[in-house]
Amino acid sequence: MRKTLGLLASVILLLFLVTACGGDGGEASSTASPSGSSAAPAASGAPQGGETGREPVTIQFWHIFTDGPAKDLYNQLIDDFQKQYDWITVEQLAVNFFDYGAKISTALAGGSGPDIALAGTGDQTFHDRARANAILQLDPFIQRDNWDMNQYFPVLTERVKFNGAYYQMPLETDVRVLYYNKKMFREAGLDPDKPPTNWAELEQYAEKLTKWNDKNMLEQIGFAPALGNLGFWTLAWTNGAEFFDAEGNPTIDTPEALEALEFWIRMQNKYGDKAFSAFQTQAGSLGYSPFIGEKVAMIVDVNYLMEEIEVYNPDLEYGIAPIPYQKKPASWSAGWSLELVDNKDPRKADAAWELMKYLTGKDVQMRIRQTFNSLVANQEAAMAPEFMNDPNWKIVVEQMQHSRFLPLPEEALSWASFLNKNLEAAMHGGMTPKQALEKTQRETEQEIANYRKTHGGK
Amino acid sequence: MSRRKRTLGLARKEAITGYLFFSPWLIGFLVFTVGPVLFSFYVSFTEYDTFNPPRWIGLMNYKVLFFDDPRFGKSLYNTIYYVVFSVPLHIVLGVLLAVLMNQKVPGIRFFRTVFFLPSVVSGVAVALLWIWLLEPTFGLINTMLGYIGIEGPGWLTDEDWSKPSLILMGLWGIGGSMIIYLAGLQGISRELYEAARVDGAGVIRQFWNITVPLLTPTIFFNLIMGILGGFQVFLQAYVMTNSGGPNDSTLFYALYLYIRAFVELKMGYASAMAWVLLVITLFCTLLVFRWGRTWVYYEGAEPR
Repeated sequence: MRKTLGLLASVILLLFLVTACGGDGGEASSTASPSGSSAAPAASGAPQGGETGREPVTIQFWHIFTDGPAKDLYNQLIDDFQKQYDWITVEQLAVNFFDYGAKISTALAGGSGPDIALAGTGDQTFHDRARANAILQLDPFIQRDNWDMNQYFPVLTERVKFNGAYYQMPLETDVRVLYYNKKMFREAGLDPDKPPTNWAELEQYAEKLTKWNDKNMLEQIGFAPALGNLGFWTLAWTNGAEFFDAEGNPTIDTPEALEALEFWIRMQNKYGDKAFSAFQTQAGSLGYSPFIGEKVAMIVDVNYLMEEIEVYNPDLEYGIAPIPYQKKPASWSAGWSLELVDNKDPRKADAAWELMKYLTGKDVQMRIRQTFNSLVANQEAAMAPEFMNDPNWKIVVEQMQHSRFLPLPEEALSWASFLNKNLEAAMHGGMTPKQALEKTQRETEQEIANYRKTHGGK
Repeated sequence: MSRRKRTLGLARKEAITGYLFFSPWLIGFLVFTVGPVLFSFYVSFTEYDTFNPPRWIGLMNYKVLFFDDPRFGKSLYNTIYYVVFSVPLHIVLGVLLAVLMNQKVPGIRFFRTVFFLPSVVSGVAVALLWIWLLEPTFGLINTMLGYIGIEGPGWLTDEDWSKPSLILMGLWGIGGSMIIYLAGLQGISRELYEAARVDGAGVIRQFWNITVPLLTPTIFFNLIMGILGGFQVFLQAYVMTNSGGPNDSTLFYALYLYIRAFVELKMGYASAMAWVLLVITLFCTLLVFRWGRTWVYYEGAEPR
């Protein structure tokens, strides 16, 4: 009796074990490498003949548009795409922005990724994906269909290349410009049609436009580099500084960068730690930029601040200008691109390529621009006459000629965090600006040396 | 002879049934815990970015970690600082609070609940709340300090105050250990206190000579748990300070490991870091066990 009972109990338990493991099995990350062993890089993604792949195919598209008008627009775009390309079915998955990076890395590592995915333009792990052939090289597709890469902003097409080949297709981008409050200019006796063009003017105007109240707190800030979206590197670029040379060696500790850092700190020190952080807290509770809240006269911010102004303070009297520069004009861009994931299925790759062309082609890009006023990557769409009539938009688009991306050498992925950390320390007086740059230079060089040691001097 | 055989056979059958009942957990443990741990040990000798297979590089990760990485030393210092200051504070305040909560006062149950509640709230919610409390200009703490004329420091934004801020914040959750001490206190028989009072011992004397010695097993338990948890401190630093805080002052070891593993996808290096932390924690725990034998008094144990 006991014997059969024991046996029965064990069988039931084993059954539970099997079902439990089956459920969890999908989570356990596979340790087998997905595509590292492909013999020829482009072989698995070789495009089929254009017209013959008409059997129904389903592709997965991952992106970050989880809600709001972006989600609606993309749903509409995907619907229209499926009508036009009726043999392709697109399954979308929207992952919220903060989890997106981790989720897609894990999926690609485990081989369960989508066929076409959104990715930061030239983001931190882009080269890894390209080198590992986790994403497809786009050149064969581009040549087969004669896709004109000149229709995108040049700075973007440069950024999406790796080892001379295209691995991403630019989708959307942004750029930073100087916003200034015309009403405050008039009140301070400045010409509202003459925004500052260099650092000296920026500083003078800022002093005239700053107002303190009787409690030694800031009523109005003229210009503070730490507000908005300037980024220290952008300021340094306007002084002709470069952070890495052609071989990828760090050139952070340069006189040009030092001048920029000293200017940055001088501007911030006009306000002082206490008053400035109080100002930031108060401004933070507004829920939108203090420029919109009319507490800041000049601010460098992304182009879509214009949209927020329309929403929160449409009567604001403001102007847009290029970022004031010392030696050469510069701006800073980031953006989103699309990648084709190598799932070893040429039909899916072809279908995903059609979607890629569709979303980044002139017509759809114009629709996207129309709906959101976002700076789309397709410059033919962005510079369409009906948009360029708006003088503010014209300035934004023109800045793309001078705009750059933050260099992210894979040997020193964290270098910008070193820079920020040392910049903060220099701002609070913990070290001199020169020391801050020297320390960043040393730390970056050390990172690169360490990388070379563990990666065999790749 | 045959009776012996039957007993053996029964014992063995019972053992087999026992193992069969135990096997689901065992298999899960081997596959989901031991397996990955051993894999991480292997990976720590490789360079692995999850897209390509791990590439063997021997001890290079460890070499770079120990000799060429300034942030390794900094993060280890931050973590040890946290452990050295927060663990004793937790113990002292926990014991004092438990003694306070052990008073036979009407409504004491209400107070026990109130002090225990913070440790139940989710860590992320607590962290976000404390970001506001510690806000340099408008936060509650600096405002109250302002009322008594003290100008509070920048707390999380100040390099010298960021770790103390996190320790202070951790102390808010002291209710958890308080409950454990309370349980320990209940185990001390009241006769000892009565006898002491009869002999003329004051309250302080009673505390040091009765309460504390009999509480040493509980204190020892919380000491070990505190050290283990302290070495792994991550959540507060991750939520409250942007990847390291002012001048890396809150770059704790676990946070640095996270950055290396999941932001930079350097799995080999991060695995090496994890194993180094394991060895350090193991070493510290063994030391504490050794030391504990001298001062922990287990009532009912054989006198040595």
